[in-house]
Amino acid sequence: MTNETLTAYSSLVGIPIYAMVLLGIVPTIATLVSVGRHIIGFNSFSIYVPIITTIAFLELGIGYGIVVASLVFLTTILARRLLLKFRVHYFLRISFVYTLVCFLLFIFIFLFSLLAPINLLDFKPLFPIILLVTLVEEYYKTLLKGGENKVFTMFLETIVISSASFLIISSAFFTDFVLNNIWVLLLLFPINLILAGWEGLRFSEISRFKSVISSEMRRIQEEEEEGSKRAKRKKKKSKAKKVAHEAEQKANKPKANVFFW
Amino acid sequence: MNKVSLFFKATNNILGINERNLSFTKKYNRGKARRIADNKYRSYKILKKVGVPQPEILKVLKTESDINSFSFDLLPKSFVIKPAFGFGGTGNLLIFGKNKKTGNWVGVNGKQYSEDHLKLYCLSILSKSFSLEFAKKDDFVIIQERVNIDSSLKRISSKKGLPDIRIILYKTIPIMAMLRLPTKQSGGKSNLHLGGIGVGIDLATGTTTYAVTRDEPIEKHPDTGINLSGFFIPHWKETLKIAIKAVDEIGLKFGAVDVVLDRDRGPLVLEVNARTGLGIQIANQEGLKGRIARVKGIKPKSRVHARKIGMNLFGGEIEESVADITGMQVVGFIAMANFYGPSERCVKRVKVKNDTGALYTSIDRDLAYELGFEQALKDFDALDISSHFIDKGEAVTMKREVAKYVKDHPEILALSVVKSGNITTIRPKVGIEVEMEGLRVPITANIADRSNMLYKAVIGRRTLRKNFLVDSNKLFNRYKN
Repeated sequence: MTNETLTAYSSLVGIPIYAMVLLGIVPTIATLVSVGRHIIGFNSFSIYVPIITTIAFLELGIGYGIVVASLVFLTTILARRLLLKFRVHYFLRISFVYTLVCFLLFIFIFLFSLLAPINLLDFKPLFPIILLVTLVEEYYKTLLKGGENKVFTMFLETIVISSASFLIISSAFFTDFVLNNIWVLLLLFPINLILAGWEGLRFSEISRFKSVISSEMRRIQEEEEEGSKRAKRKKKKSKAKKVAHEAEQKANKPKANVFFW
Repeated sequence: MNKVSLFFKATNNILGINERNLSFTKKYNRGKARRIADNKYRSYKILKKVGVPQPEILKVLKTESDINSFSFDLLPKSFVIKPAFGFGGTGNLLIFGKNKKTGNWVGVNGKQYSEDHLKLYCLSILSKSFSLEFAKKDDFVIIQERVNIDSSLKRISSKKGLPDIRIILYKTIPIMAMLRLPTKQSGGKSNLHLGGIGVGIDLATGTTTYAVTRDEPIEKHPDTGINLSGFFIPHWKETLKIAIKAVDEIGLKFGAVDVVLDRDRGPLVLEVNARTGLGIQIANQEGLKGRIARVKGIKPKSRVHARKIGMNLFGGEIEESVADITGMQVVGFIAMANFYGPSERCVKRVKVKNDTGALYTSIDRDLAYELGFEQALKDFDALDISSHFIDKGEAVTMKREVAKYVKDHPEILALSVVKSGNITTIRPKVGIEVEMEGLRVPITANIADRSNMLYKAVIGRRTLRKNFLVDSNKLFNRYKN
């Protein structure tokens, strides 16, 4: 069965082609996030947030998607700061934050559509925006644990991974390739298996530990130099010993045969 | 060895998160031990049973009704609220006392909390706001007594906050340690990722070495201005002892123990961690894997043996801190030195004797030739002075007679009379530079015939006392196997 036949067969059975593309997107993004985390050292908000963000980018476009995602994130920070003065239960606080974020987002979209020549809501689907809004709780939980500085860095890294995933997945090569070679998705299994066993330093760690690496390099070099000098001295000593031993043997060697008559 | 292979060898000694999670945390720590370490209350009960000193847990609040029915007035003036499944110091709330006017509890940076605020904080702990991601059970609140910090640690640390000592142990052998100091920026918390300071500790002596904050080196505490290296941790052996006992009782083969020093009770185990942070490597300027490799095949016979192994194998960095305090460089009795003559002529890696019994520095004639003093030696030899004198007075008289001939010599500074054993000699004195352990200093040295001697140069007291400290235990190969 050829690849084209597989695709044609799937269409014949009634599975829409876009469903197959969708099937390829989520595991691919998940694998890219894993690569980003374990190889590069990006610290995104779990795996769920980049997946949702990338899917939102695919629907909204990367520019508009980044704007909306950033708005949701910044309004979460703002909402938390506003609520700091009030002492409320955790779930009520989250509920307030969601409400505030939606209202602020609505105000932004409303003002933007007033100022912009076109009405954005007409052209952009609502569902991806709602998807991005659902990430508020994830941002908020991390804010509580890590503080604002950490959360800002994590958000930027999430945007980078999501943008990279968007560029890969939205490329014609990927959509055509996945569409015509469904079996390629099976490669994600061995890739993830390799990543599962990856023990090397992340790129971010190489940067973080650069002073330790320099210190270790200096130490290893000194040890190597000392080791080679010791080996040379040992060799010299053993050679001198050998020469002395040979000389001694020569000296103790019995003289030429003397005939005793 | 080329730089690329050197780089890979160096990175091989450093423990990263991927390897820590795959090959260490899961491999060496059984599920049960990890679960005990993750639950602060459970590990507290186990360690209390075996007599490991810890700060007392005053109250445990497991449900919403426990929190609502509890009165914080029953607690002492200062205490700490923390989540049972917390990690990295997040979720810990330090209360220092009560404001008499408002009746509110006072936290770090003077922030005030009413009883309702404290109860709401406890409720947020119950809703797992600060818990470990993989904590299977529901989180609950622990209220622990606040430790009175040892006065010596209080001096170098920020006024508020609790400094602690983190020790990493591998199969009960302590392999690395650091002192963690809180700062104003970290909100009184000592965790490195929250802005605290990490200072490496020499395991042999319990003395601090290299300090970092947010992975960048620093020399002084930003709040107190006190120098961070060369500080001696009090009760160091006792600290190692209780850390070893704690991991052994819980069953962690690769873990970290946080110890605090109480003013009255000495070292107390604050908590045990199954997932150790890796910033300790930056504070010690050495990779964990390299140290683990050195102890991998060792099976300590007892806890005392484990402590001795750690102290003996992983000490020795104190020299840098001594150098920092005194401005002098620590050198061994026998050392490798680089000599620099006029016109920057250099002879490197000369084996020298740092002899506090000798007053002057003396270098061999051949060494002097290599440094560029051919003309000086030629001119000195032309004076035709006797090679040695029995009577010192005779030598002094001779020196006075010939000194005028070298008075304006460009290289010979003076003639010196040196008594060595039963023989007195007159030697030319020249100006050179000597470099040992990275410290290069100008000195005056006399030139003698040392062809029959073991060392081509002897560094005397006059040079040593200003610039170097002689450690008779130090070998010039400091990284002995």
